[in-house]
Amino acid sequence: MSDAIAMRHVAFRPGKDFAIRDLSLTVPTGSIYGFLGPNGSGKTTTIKLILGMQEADDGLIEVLGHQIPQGAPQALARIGYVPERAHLYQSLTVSEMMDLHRAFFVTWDAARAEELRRQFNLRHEQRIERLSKGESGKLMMLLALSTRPELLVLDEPTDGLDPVVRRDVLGALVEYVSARGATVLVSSHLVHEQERICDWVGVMDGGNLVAEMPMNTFRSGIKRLRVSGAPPVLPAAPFTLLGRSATAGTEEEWGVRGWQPEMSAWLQAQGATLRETIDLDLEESFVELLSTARTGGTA
Amino acid sequence: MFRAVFYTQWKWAKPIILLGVLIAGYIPVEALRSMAYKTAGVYYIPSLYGSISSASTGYQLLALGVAVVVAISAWQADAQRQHVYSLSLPVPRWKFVLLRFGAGAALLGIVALAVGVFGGVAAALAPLPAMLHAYPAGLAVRFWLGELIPFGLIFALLASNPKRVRVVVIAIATLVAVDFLLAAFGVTKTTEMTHWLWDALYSSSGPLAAFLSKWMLIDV
Repeated sequence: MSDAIAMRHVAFRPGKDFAIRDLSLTVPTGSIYGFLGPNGSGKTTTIKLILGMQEADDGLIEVLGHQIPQGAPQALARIGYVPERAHLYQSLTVSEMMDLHRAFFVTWDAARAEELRRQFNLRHEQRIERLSKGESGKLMMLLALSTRPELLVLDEPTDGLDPVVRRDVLGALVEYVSARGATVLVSSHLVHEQERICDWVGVMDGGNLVAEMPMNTFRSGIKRLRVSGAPPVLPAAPFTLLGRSATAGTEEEWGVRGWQPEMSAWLQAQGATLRETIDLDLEESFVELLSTARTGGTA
Repeated sequence: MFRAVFYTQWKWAKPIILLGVLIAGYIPVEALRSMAYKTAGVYYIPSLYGSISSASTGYQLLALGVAVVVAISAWQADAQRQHVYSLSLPVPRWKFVLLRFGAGAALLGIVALAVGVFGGVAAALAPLPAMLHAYPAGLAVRFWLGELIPFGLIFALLASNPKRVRVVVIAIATLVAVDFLLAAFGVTKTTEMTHWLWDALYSSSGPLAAFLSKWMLIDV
């Protein structure tokens, strides 16, 4: 099965202060891909490159089999997009915005749109400029889902929404994905939210993709070890040492990836003692990974 | 697709279009109003000509004003949101620009139509001297084409990259400011660069040349 999104060696410099260098990213078809990263890490810029809104300086981007940006209109016809900030025409009403959107998408599902409108408690005559942030988020999700997309690209879709609205929006998304098996690329810095719905994860930092793997691997693969008596220089290890820091006396904390319990024998062989293995949740793993990437460690 | 785009632009430009239609109705009425009280005499034709000439300027100002506002309103909503919505639509950019331009041109056509209809009605009701004729259809076409020139210029500028727009506006403003300063301090005799710019725009081959000729509802 081909990948829904494939970026290969993409480079893009939108300004003096930020650049994406040699970015390769793969979103498998049918996956829910959580695109993590702190604010300003390049998630939105990457999404704009994927949608053909900005043109890469170098590299290859393919979305649903279409080369971007040349094939962007064909790809966009099969994509539902929810941007980071409300992008709708403020002076239109909900109904007028739906009519405008329908005119551009031949796959528009009017019955589903109406169903979602009722489910989201949006009124036809409500002016978009008078919608609350939550209502605006719901309308954007309604527009994205009503085109029956094969790929959903959601840029911080629940950022700033209250828990009730967030539940409604995510509920509609999960319902759609489970019914149609669509691929989803969802960008967020809300790590716990991603943990619940995603099966793949990619982590951006400073314009680089510092990790990309199945969620299970990410969740279980990164651990923190408390080790004592380890020599300063280590031979090649059977796991990936993300970073090490001294705590007290000869004790150190190691961030590791690919750890298995039987690997403690390797530590003993180096004259070190494993004091404790600490399981990290997704957020801690994310922080560990970022701090490693920023200090130049191997992610 | 066109209908949907036209509707959104109609919503944004409705006040100026309706105002334009009202003014298009007022101009010929005002120009021909005085005729009912005059008799065909030696001063009649020059007086009528002066009145129609004033109407010509009125039409030109109306065309310019409506065109500028319609061009701005065509892109304002997109510009406020960094064009994110329009760029996420599954149409090539050139096609979206063409849709917006077409919708704007059609909206301008409403005012041009009003110019023709009101001009025709007013001319039909006015007691025209035998040698003079009304050309409402010709005036409407001319009005519409006249509207399209400034509309096209401003539309193209606003559809372009904002950085490029800033560069063009700053360059022109700098040119004019420097030119006036040089003339004010006696370095140059006149504002030569501004004159050059003016000539480039209004010479017989310039894009705004149509605004220097008369747009006559009534002529020989």
